[in-house]
Amino acid sequence: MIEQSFAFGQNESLIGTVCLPQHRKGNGAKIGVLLFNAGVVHRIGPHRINVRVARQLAESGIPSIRFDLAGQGDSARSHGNLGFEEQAVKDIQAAMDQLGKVANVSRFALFGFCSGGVHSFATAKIDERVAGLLMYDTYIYPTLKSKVNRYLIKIRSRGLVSSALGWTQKRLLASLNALRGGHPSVSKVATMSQAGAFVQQGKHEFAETLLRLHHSGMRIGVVYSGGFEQYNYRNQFADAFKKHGLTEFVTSEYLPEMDHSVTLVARQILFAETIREWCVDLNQALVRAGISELPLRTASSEPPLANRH
Amino acid sequence: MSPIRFGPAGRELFGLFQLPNAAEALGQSVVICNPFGQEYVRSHRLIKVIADRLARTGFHVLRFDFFGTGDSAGDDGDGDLIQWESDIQSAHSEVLKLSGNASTSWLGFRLGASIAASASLRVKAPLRRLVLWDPVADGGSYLRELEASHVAGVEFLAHWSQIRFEQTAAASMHHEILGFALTGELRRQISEISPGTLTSARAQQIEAFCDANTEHFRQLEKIFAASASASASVSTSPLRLMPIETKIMWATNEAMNSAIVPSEALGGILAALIGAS
Repeated sequence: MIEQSFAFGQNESLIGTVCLPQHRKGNGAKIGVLLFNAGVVHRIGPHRINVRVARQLAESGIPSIRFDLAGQGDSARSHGNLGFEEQAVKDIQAAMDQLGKVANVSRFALFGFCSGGVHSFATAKIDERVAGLLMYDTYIYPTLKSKVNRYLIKIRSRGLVSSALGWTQKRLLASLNALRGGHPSVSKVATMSQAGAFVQQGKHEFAETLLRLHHSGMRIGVVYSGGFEQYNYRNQFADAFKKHGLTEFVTSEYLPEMDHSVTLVARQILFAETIREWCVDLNQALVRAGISELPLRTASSEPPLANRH
Repeated sequence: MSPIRFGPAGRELFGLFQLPNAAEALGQSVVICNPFGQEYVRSHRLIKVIADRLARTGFHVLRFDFFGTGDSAGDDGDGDLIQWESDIQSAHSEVLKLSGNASTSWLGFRLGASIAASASLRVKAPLRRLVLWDPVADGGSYLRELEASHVAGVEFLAHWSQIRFEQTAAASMHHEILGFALTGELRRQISEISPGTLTSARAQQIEAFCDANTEHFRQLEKIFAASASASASVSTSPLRLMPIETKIMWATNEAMNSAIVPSEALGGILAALIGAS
């Protein structure tokens, strides 16, 4: 494994470390993996998880870059002429440029940790170089079963009386809000992790986008920890999108024994292995495709989801 | 700001070297020594802000990650206080080489401050200033503090989420603290940190900053007073304890999405480093 640190991007304002496999040529790597901030934690990730993931990827022959978005970690603040999301996308694209140059790869997998998943999703929508999108604890969609489970979890951890009082209070507030003309509930849309709940992605729009990305040739995966009551059983993602035709191609992994910020060392090992396996699978799929210089993703000819049901 | 990798073969360290504002260049350098584990993650923004301000004030600044931490080589379980002292020496040599300055000060946080105090004996020419923020003066107390943070953090996770841990927080704290490995050897080394680690430090001036409203401050007060009375006279002692009114929860998991930058304390520390330069 070889690690090199760079200042890159416009005015060399972004800071990152590229992690390369020991044998750089002929290792069969078709992709490079991007790792970046989770919330405000700098590029090493919560509990240094990005470093662990990067080194395991290198052991498997896959290069990566871990870097700070503008204004986060060690990277300089942006000039402010772009919005938050636009700037993040631009930074991710700059990191792809940098990793591509250093590791000689032209396709990339984006790993988004929590709010990082929002930025990865936004980039995957517009950049054809993205071959894989893996989002961790990002968009959560409830099902009837997850709602029932959630109450059971609350009752188990807080007791029946306390949970009932909390539920009653919530319903009263929702009714009051509805009387005032507000929206009675937000349960029909995705709730993102509390750590960065600033974007709500409508379920239909989310499904339609994933479908479009899939048809353009992208591999998509979601991973959930046991850290949020809202996501609480193994097939929740598949159940939530049963009617949208996503389950055959979006891989979903549920790690109930893991907390959101991957705190304990034993969990970090499990987490890193999960991410490594997903990236290795993607890389092998591209290697199997047998194309030395892979074409960029193509625009989908599939009809939009709205017209399919 | 330039990211650099330096240090001996097999012990490569990540560093960020900052040039001074050219118009204000003081011909002096500062090496910044990070705290340990989750305390470093929590204070990363604070350390960046200090480095930026020092550079703007006219210092060459090098902040770096100890081996086995941050972006440096090495695994989480490679922590070793003696080797970390060598890392500070490497950073010191690097900043002398890159800046061309003869005068260097060190700024250390928490455990990083205590390692710096101990490492200060290893450099040939005495440091200009050694500034210590909340230094560890009693390794045993520090370990108990870390363990309490770990237990609180893990119990919080167990209560707040659906996770059932197979091992109690109290059991896991023997080999890790809030997700950072704490090996038996590192634990033993930390437990040996004593007031003498701070009072035997060597620099033209040594200033320790600590929240005045804590038991830790009162301990440091006694340690520094005893050291001053043992020296020729209080006025010749290089040790100064500077009270601040900032209480920082250095190690906490719950507040992962908040950055700490206490401005009052920051001002005092910058003033200490700038001094009568």
